[in-house]
Amino acid sequence: MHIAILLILAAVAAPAQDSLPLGKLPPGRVLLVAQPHHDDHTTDYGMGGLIARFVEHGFEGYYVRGSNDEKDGAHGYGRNDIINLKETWDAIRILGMKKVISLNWRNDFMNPIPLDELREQLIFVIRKYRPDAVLGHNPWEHYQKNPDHRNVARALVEACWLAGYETVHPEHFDLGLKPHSVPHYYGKGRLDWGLGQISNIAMELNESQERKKELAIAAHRNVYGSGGAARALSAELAKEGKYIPEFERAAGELEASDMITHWWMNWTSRQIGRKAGVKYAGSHNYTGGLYHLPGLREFVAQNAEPVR
Amino acid sequence: MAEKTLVAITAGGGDYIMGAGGTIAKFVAEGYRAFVIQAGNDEKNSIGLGPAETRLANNADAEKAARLLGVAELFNLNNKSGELSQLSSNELRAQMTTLIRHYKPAKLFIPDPFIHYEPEWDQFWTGRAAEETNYSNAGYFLPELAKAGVAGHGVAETYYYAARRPYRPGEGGHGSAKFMPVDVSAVFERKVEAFLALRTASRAYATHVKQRLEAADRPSGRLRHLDDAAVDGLARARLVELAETIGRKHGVRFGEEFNYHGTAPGAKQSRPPWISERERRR
Ligand SMILES: [Zn+2]
Repeated sequence: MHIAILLILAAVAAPAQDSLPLGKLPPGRVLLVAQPHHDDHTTDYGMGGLIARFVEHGFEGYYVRGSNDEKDGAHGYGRNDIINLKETWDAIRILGMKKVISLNWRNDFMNPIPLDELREQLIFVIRKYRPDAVLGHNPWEHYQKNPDHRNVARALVEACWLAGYETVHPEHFDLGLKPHSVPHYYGKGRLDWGLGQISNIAMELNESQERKKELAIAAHRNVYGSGGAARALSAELAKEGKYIPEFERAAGELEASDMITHWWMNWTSRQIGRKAGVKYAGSHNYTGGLYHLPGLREFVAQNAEPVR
Repeated sequence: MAEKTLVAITAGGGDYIMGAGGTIAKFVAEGYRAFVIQAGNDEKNSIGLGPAETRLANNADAEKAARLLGVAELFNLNNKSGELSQLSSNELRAQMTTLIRHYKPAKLFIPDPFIHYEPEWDQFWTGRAAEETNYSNAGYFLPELAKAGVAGHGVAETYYYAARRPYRPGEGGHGSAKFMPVDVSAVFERKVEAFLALRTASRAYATHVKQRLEAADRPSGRLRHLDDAAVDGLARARLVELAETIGRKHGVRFGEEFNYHGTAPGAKQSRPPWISERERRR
């Protein structure tokens, strides 16, 4: 869920880490992004650029929206849901993903929902699409006050693991599905309320991927588009004898508002890129396929052979 | 926004005093009206009393303690202490939200749900629901409240507190949340005075400490007879050690500390860097 921060941000999240190693794209062909809300695929601390990069490298992408997004926007619950879902489709198409799967849990009320039920839905989706990489929130991030972010992430990391067990929800197999465990997980954490997460990699973005990130988040005009905010900013600057040259070329206030959103994304990608010695990047908490099996890395290094 | 109003959310009647009592007393001295929302009924924290007698005794103590600290009103939600995990967190959040909308505070004090190794999970569940009120106070939440005339209310500043110990490295103070120490030396006696009113809980604490020391073959003469003086002496020593430990970290005699985020009244909103890097002079 977005927070109205475009112009009222008091303090920009300070970088939690000074440098980050650059990660490589894993092999594979399917990407699943599972998040509670319409806009969580991107946002500043998010992963829109990485999604675009996966897709540009041949991955098929699918987006799971866990909630109904009824509270994001000024149009009432039902209409917010419809508008936000439509804008999710617009945004994921910009990023090159194929489909939105909406689970429709009640927005911002996901704390006490049965996690096993949500997990089962995610296991089902994982078995259907068989992703090589999954992107979601980091369930271990701190100072994450949104219940939906926490719970979708918790259910998701468990689903990535349990989807591989043939003893888990065997009823799925009658529908022709097969077990599938997910080898690569990329987590994100908000940094604006506290530590959030400690990222362990940066993923470089090229110009095209960065641009898609900017456009994808701005596609959520229901919550990010604010002509009034752009107007207020211009008025505030004018009082100081200042202006923003780019605004003079904007077709209207809403387009100026889109520009602000683009710049916000761009600035964040540059900040993260600087930590990794590249122009643009996103930062993530990555857990690889062998991560949770202690000792296996050494075993693999000594015993496993690459496929020829 | 009631500019000079603060609300402290607490699991039991004493947690907010331990974690934030000095700071609250300081704000009260500056003219703030302070309100306390207590999540649990304190029915378990006693020696030699049944649950009903325990809650009555602790609740009476908590009322007295709050008054001594300068709190205008303590509202007890009366959920079962020690069993908050069994309550729907949406329900607990709605209870808190309703009261926050009623009191309209500028500052909110809440237990930090992200500190580690706190064995009392009521701290966690209380903090978690309290933190979420940051969302649920928005006007589009709980429209039934708006219907009843209780509109949404945004809280400008949130102070997370760790109730019984100093913050540890890795807990709080990162990103745009600041780590905020407060020198409470000038109001420390008021904090102590309030805390000593919680004698039912302090007696239970003293009894447990005495039992532990005896089990470790290190009995204390000061706890041989747990009369009021012994109970109060231990309670005071506990507060002094906590405040001095935190104070040493920050170069003051008695301290409290918070993971803080928000915008203080009158603070200038800085423009985001993605704007300021583009602004030009006419
Ligand atoms: Zn979200």
